[in-house]
Amino acid sequence: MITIDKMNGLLHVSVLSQSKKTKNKLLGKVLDSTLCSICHDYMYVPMMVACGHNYCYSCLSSWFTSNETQELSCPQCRANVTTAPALNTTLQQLLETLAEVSLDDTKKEKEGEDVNKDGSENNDDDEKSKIDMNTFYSSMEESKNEYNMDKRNENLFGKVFINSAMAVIDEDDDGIARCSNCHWELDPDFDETDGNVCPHCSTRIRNRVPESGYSRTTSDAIGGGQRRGGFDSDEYSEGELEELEQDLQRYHEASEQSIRELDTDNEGEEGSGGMSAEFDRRFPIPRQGRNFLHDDEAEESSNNGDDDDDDDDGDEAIRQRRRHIDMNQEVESDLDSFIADDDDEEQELDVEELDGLSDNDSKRNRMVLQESESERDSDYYEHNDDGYVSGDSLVDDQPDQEPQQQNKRQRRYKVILQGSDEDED
Amino acid sequence: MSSLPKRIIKETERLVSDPVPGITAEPHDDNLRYFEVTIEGPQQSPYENGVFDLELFLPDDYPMEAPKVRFLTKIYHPNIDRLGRICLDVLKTNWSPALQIRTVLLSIQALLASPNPNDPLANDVAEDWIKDESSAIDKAKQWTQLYAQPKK
Repeated sequence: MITIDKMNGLLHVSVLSQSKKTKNKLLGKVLDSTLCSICHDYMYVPMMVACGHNYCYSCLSSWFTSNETQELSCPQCRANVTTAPALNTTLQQLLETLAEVSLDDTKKEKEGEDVNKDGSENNDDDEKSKIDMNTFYSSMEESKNEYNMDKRNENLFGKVFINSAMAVIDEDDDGIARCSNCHWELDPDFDETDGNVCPHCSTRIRNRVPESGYSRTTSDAIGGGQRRGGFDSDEYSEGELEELEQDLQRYHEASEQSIRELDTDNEGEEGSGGMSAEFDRRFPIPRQGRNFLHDDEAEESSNNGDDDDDDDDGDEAIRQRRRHIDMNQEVESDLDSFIADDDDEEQELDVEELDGLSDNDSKRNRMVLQESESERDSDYYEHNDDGYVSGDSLVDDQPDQEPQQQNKRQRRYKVILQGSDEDED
Repeated sequence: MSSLPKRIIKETERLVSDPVPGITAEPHDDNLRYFEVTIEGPQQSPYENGVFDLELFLPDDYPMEAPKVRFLTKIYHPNIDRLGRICLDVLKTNWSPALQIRTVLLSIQALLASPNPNDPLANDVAEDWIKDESSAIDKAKQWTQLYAQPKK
């Protein structure tokens, strides 16, 4: 009665030759395998987790999103779920085939009812199964729509695989588990208090925090989470970082230049040694990043040399200013046009100086004096919070007053020097 | 009351049609999420021959959230406190939606068979248990005799 295709395997032969009772039992088992262990209903959209277990898409989705502070795990075996489950098309087809077959049979029996009278005793069952199949198909439609909608909107599993991070150990680094989002160090026991959430960036960690020694390579985490484009919790964007680096480089070059110029500047006045010899004595191995400090110290020490002579203030001020003009020339090359003006300005100051600085209430000149005094005291900016530290207040200065602008630049420079000084300490 | 999820209906049907040996669970007439439960004390345990009453409630998020279970009968057990609250991992952090009412009740029955004084909920009981296990077991037997006798 049953024709066995020779192409079929041994299992086909064996199963098909079983008694009807055994086959029914077997079919029951097959049908059971299409049930979801979460909702106990058919898996219209079966999703397979990496460990091999299958659940409805909607059930698995609500399980993953039900507790925002838990690691993701398989409901059946508790295996960690680090990658998004995939649609199990084989299981989906099996369910559809089973449904189609039963629908066909129902139809056939209906059609053949007049001919085959022995179907009469099953009439009620036929009606029942027909109704059930309608709800079956409408439920299937609903589930598939939900899945397709979420897939189209890139909202699968409530984006939990997009918005969560992984605890990652980089063996080449320090062997410490870190958040793949912000690189914060994660304690293997941290979830006992606050849940499986990064204590730094509050991102959910979807795997268990491994003990040191358990190796998960960085590339694993990247594979699971390419979605994090930049470091959104970081203070700087990539562009800003580049800019900062360039700034640092520029200031570095500028300060080196100004040291060289200070050197030549001082040679005539202070004679022996020059400033560079003094620097070398103080800082035998010039290190990168300390050049600002060198410059700062240099100015300080040069001022200290003249400190006893108060009458020299004006003269010193102009000399200081000249230096800073040179400095600014290096710092901001787009100042060239201003610098031409500055030279004129300086001559003006020279004239004013001749008129007697102490009585002169020229605003500009006072600015220069203040500047000069400030340079005598290395703690000036620490003890006088005059608002120059803020970049905003600098911008608010009147830009049309040339000397003030000069001072402004000078001060900005000074602030940076001060900043680097503090950092070193 | 919101409509009962299909899963709860199915579970209830099966609890009645195919009950777990030594365990009964019947939904309350007024609230189908509230179950009256009895668990027989496991054989060869201090709770043998006792029948313990419990209450079980399925929260709105069930099965994403674990059922809430509590002993109503007084019991001397290091992992069950005076109020009948149970210290069991599957009811807390290790809950999984693949678990069911019947599996949870089986876990509780297993907890009666193997008390764990090293992870206590009732500290005083656990201390007694660690200090002098045989006298603690005797006390558990006494309490079972006193409080967990099957209703006639």
